[in-house]
Amino acid sequence: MAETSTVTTTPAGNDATVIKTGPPSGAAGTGAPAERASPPRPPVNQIYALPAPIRTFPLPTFYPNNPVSLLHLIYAWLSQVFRAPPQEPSVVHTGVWDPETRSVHILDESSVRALWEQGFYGKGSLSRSEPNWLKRELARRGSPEGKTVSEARTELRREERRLAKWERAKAELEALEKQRLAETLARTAASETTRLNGILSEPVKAAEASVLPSSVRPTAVEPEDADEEAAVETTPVVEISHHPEPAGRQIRQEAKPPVSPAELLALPNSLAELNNLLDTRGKFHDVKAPVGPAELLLLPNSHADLVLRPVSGLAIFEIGQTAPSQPTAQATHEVDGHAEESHTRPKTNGGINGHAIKASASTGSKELDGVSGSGICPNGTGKTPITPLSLASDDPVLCPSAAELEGDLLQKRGKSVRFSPRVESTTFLHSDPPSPGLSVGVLPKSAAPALPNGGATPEAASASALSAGAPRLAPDSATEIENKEHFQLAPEEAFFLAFSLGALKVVDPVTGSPISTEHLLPLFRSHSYFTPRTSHSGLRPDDPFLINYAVYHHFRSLGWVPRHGIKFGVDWIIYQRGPVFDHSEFGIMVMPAFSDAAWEQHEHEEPKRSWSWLMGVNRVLSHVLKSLVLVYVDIPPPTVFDEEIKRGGIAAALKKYTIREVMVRRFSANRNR
Amino acid sequence: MSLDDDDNPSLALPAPLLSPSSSSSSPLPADPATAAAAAAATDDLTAEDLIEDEGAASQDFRAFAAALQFRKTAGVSAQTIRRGEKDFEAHGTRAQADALEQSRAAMRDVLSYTRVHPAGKRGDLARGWYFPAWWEGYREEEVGGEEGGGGGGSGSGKEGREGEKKPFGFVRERVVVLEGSSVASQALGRAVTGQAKDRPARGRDWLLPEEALYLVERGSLDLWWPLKGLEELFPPDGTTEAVKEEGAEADEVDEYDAGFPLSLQAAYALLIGNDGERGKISLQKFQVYSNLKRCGYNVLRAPPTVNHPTTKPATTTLWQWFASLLTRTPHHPPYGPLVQPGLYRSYASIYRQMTLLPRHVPSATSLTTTTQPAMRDPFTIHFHVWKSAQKWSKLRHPPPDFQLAVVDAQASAVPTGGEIAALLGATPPEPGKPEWAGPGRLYARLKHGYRNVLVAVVDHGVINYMRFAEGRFGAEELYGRFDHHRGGGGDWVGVGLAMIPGNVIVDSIISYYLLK
Repeated sequence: MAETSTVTTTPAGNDATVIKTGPPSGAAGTGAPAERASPPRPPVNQIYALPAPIRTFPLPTFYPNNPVSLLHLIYAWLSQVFRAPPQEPSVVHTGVWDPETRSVHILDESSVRALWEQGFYGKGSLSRSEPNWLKRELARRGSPEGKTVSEARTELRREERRLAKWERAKAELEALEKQRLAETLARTAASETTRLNGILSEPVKAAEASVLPSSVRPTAVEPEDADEEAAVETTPVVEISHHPEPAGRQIRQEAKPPVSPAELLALPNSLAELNNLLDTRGKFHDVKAPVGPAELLLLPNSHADLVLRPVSGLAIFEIGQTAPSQPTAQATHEVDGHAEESHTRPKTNGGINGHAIKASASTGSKELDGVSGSGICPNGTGKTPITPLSLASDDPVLCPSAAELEGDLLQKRGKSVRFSPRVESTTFLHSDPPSPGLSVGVLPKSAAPALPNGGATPEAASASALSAGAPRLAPDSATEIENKEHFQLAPEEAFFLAFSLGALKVVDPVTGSPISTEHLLPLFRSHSYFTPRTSHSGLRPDDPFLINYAVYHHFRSLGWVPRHGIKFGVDWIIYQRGPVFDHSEFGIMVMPAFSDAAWEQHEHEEPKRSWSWLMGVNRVLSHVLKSLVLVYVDIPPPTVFDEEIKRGGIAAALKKYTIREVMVRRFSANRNR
Repeated sequence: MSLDDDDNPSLALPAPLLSPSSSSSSPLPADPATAAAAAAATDDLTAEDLIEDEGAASQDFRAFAAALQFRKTAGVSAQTIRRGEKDFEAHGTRAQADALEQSRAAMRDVLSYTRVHPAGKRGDLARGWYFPAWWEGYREEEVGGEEGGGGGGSGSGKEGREGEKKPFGFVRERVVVLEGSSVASQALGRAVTGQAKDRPARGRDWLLPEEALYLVERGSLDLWWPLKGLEELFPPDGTTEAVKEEGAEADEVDEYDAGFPLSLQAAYALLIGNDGERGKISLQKFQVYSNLKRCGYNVLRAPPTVNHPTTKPATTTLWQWFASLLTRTPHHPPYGPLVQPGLYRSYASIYRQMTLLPRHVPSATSLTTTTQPAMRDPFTIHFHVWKSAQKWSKLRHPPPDFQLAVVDAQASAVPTGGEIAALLGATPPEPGKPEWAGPGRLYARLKHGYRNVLVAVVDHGVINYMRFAEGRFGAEELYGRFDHHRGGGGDWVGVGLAMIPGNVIVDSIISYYLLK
């Protein structure tokens, strides 16, 4: 970039940003909103070019070896002299003091943008920090604009992470199952040979059974269990419960490494059957009640498997036969009753029903692609219109919709029980966008834990969301959306803008008249206590507001961007450039200090922080890769403070507060020698 | 060796998890649910958490046992102990069961390893006699404190004759005299020099209570309660042969005439006391001392600090005052705005006007000036700590790597501003590496701080070391960069021979005319 062009563009760029963000002052301000609304956004460096709501007008650089630059310098200077730009800060924003929330609300849209973009002040009341509720709402209703919202990006990132974890867990599980299968085969081979040799004896088998690990053993018990359940329930189950054997045999004959999650889930059962097959003659393994957590987890599973096995075995193993529609239909009819099932296992089904059904609904809707599709195809067609959202919302009253579902769906619900560690993911926010790109962020949340649902891969889930969600919520961009969000400044931010920069005017909420900085200070100070203290009576130099403001001002005046750090368990977090550019590296804990001897005559409480408090704060911060800074604010005694206030206002009084930062880190003796 | 679980499992090489026989598989979490849960639990952690996360990984005793088998007699360092992967649940594979059984066997082997203490004369096991009152009346010159390094005063008060300075000796605190020299006495103990020739036990090493207790606990010292006086046990010089003979005799005849050995409990009872008791050490300090020693550090008691009067501060403050007079004279209206409305050519000028609160800029003298409060217990430097890698002897050593204070987690709180300031003020400046200059390493500089001090927080025997460092935010003015990454001149730095920002020219012209 040539220096002339730089020179000319810099003030112009400033103008542009200010015009864009400032109130509609001047003729050029009209084009700005339209420009911002257009999808291709300017780069962040351009949006957030100003570090403070004040423009600067740097003069071009003079290069002695380039005399032309002197001319340019003179020209720029003269033009500024004769056509002087408005005094900075040229825009004084208006905020309304809101005593209920103890914040200053900014109502003007352009002021909101300006304060956020020029120094990262404030926060949207319905957003994480940048006020973008409107965008999210637009995105939810189908407008393409909302995808760039940071909340959505975070959601996307989380989803990616979740998928990666899921993949990893799957890989681990596969390896484990492979190992298990290999060992079982080896063991059966060994026992077969021993049996063939005619030395089959009870002790050998007993040893075998004892070698069999605990998590597998309960599955050996399941035939009895299933029979009991079948007795309780309707009879068709009993028919179906006889199906497992062929499936188990198939697995043994094929001896093919299982790949998909559903297969893997099917495996333990087949292993149990292997044992069953071996053990049918001598039923010597003790039938004991399932007590351990692992066993309990396995129980519903085995039941579902008993029902499901013909389907899953064939469809997923790609053995290539046609789908056995007969058993499936039976299963459907009998489980349609649903109530009995839900009352037999209320514990496992209760919270997770929505989950399972949704997940399996997505599987079903994905009828044409995927391996399992061939098996489930006839069943799946019927339930495409069922939207995941509606299912998830009416979790307990599942019955009517569940009755419509086909059999495989309900069978699979049983399987997903153990794989949904977080039930809270069934709740859906209405703001969650159903559009395809974002639905990845929502739906696989349930599909990912639902490993057992053979074909319910995340792709499938998103695909189903695409088909299911799109027709339901039509983009209604035509209707005007009212922005329900307001922008709020913390008292420290508001006071900094008013007192240091002069870029903010706070008005009284009732009268609408501006509050001068002189009155703003006692207002904020009194409201920094709960049940706000009346001015001038209970206000002291160690007001929470004054202490926090001292810290805020300290870091702001050094060029940092402080923001409230309650999300990270600290008082403040400071950014080098701003939340848009970088992660904050430091979390700040404000520590009031009363080192002045005169404090002993005044009643004050020096906070006693325990060591466990410090370790806790530090531990939490290091989990988010920030380091802890204790900021000791040495507070002047009341006499000094009052004197300074009288003499030179708050500006003089603040000079009596001294700030000392102490960096805190854990030290590991084993890593530093 | 240390079995501390503080090691970084993510940095350590993964242990060979499986025996060669079942090499094709690996023990994995059993259940899909637990696998997912475990994955979720570990994946939300970051690298630093793993570093910090204690006890996340258990010890792999197999690797330890393997190390033992290779060198049966040699000591096993902590480096050879690796950690295995944690299985959260039995998942029913034989491979897992095998691994578990193998690990159990290895642990059994490790625990059944016979430790042998070589008998007295040859090497390790030395004998120490407990003489608590011998040095009670000793006066040691307390000249400590200068050149914050290992230097304190002279240990014996005879530095003129010795010609060299020795670290402060804490002679009054020394209660155990070593019989003969052992390995331990290379790094521990102190011979009190400058004694008259006829004094008994001349040239013997005397141990501090923590040193003696550490050695007893380690199994390298046999602590004895004397029944005879020091004069009889260690007769003055000239009769050394007699001593030797006597010692040889004692072995054969009846050494229990001279005294009797003390148990570990007795050693604790004799040597652990409250803070301030002569010849004893508090339990917390001993725990920290022994932990650091076991981790391989060299630890010495910090010499008592003498608040030396500083001569410089007056001049520096005066100079600073002048400088502040010259440079910073922004008028601050009582209720703002601090930034005067006007035309600004750089953000630096704006931010300079906002400077209000006095900033703490660390410097070599800044802390020891004027109203520096003195250190108060427990926030005083108790130990000087050296990393093990250095060339180190108990008398000659470089300045310490760490300065350490020991506090009780229950009895104390997070230091107040005055306490931490005093503590930091007692440590020498350590600004960090020179290559950290420049904007790229801002975080490294800030995190390292200017001075630092370690505080060992002992909570019922659990030690947590915290590092407190003097912040230097005041020395880093971020706003200097606001003009740079916006200004146009950046591209030309490499090209142009010289460049003068237009702001400077115009400002100088204006000020020239104003002055005229």
